[in-house]
Amino acid sequence: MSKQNFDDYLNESLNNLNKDIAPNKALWQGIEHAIVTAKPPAVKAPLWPKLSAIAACSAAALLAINIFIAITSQAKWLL
Amino acid sequence: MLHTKPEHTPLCDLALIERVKAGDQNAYKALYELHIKRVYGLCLRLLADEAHAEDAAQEVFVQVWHKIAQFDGRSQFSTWLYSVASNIAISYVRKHKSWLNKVVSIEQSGMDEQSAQSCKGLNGLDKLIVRLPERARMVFVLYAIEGYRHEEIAQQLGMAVGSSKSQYHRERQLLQEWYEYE
Repeated sequence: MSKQNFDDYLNESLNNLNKDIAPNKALWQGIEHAIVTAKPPAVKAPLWPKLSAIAACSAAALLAINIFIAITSQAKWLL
Repeated sequence: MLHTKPEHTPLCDLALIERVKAGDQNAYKALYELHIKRVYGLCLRLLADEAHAEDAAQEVFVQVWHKIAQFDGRSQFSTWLYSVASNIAISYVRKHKSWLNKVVSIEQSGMDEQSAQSCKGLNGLDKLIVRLPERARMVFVLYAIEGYRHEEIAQQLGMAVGSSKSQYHRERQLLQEWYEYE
């Protein structure tokens, strides 16, 4: 067989190759057993909601302090 | 009765992945059903042994369950999954098979009849591929079937890029000889 013929055979075989092959035995039970006995997948919680909450609380606290100072200084001035 | 394969789309994967990330095992089983044949096919071609391929495919789905949070959706899930599968199959060889297999040259080993016997269900080109020597078979499968670049294969298998290229060309010649012989 010439190289060209083999190249054609190889290219055609690779193009028609079925990448899916079914295993002969059921594999899910083993996987299920392994994942049931393990902890659920760790989901990384995004950081930005926590940072936003901290920033909002800090801003509210600063505002409250400013208002308190303003009120007390105004009260002193009136007295 | 007409049996049709359930339609599988990346969007379908993404919806299932969100549920899996929340710990939904039924969603994970659905994801498994969608991908097991492709993952097993990859493992079987890389390992050339049905029992080892079954073990490796199970290992893939156990590890993916634990690593699913690392999947950020920037690539397709299937691409990520098959990359995990090929890494696990390669590590499986390192852990479970003799180091001697890896250093025996193509000329010395010739046809791997043992592998051919343990994959009786395969035919055509697959029948020849599983007879290739272990390391060279991995290069051939990753390059010709899975479409990896030689640079990626060299990194995965811990070899020089030139070695990956030369092994691939030698495998092609070997396959041609076997094909002519058969």
